[in-house]
Amino acid sequence: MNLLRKSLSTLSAVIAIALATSHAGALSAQDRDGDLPRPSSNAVAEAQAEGLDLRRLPVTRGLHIVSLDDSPFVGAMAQQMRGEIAEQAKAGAYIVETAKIPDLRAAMNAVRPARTMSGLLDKRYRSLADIRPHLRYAPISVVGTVLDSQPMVEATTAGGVTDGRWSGVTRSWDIAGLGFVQLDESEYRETGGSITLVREWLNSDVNGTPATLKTMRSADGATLVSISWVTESTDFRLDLQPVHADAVEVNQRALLELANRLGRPT
Amino acid sequence: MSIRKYVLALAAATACTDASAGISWLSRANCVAGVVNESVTYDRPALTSHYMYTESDHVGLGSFGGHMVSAPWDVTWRSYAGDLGDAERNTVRGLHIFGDDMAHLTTHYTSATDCNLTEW
Repeated sequence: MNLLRKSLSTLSAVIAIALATSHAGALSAQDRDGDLPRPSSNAVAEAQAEGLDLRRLPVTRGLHIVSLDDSPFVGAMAQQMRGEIAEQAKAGAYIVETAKIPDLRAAMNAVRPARTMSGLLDKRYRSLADIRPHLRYAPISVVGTVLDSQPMVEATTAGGVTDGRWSGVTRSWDIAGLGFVQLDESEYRETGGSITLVREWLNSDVNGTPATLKTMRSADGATLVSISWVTESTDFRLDLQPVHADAVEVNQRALLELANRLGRPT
Repeated sequence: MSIRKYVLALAAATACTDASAGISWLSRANCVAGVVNESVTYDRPALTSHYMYTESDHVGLGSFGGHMVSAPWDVTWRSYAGDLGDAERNTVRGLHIFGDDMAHLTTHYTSATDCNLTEW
């Protein structure tokens, strides 16, 4: 009887150790790989109907560059992307409906003055010094660029918030002769995000980092020039609502040059 | 309908434009007398629309499992997933997915045990 009790006790201990080891192993593997929670089956089904296959969404944090065929974009949406990529490559711009091109100035003014609830809650800052205490990371320097020659119109926080400080910032400037410029940046590495880029859209580079440079135009002349790039820590995007909308190549060159000059030492 | 018109109509139906780097996301737990739990993805103050999806998992402190609410895939400036009336204090975990003019898809995760009152 004593022998049986001793055997059962030993067996229980072995099972307990095995379970504990197995659980710890699973956790450490998850931490090491940075696996992320998956969208629910409902989300997957809903997205499928919209042309997104979330089963293809990368399951680890960080930057992922995938071909369009392997991306979460499928069906009509993937077909549309192919068309836009081809049109951008061929004509230097692609056509979308007017409503798809934001008016950056109007968007900025839409909730002013701050007499509405929304306006009161929106936090707009007029200088880098004012917004800096609310940011987790130092914004990229604009010293030595055309943005440095003009006062910033405003800055707003973006990204995720931890202990009252944000992982991103949006800044804007009105540059005579060029247009309205908006610079978005959002840290994603420490913040724990996952970014998926479509390889076929990478048609340029910013200081050696692959970038997407493109111009969207509408039939009534609304234009948005943009360049976006993702470094090892930060997701950047520069938008330009140009003064001279027809100068497509000139505007794209100006935006690319501006992007390449960002981040110089202050 | 010509091929070009068909393609343009398709584009109008599915396109989303503009930047995603300016988007914000957060979760809040146990707000407003402790009963509001939510996760939200939004673009403010620009209020421009993007493809967005948000899930919010609410797990009672010390519990296993919980319940999940979600905002459907939509082209919107604010994707809200939340509820009220949870009897116990919760940990809220958010899943935020958003797209940028179909070259860029971003996923972020949030976790909150308090109200994150610096934002709404």
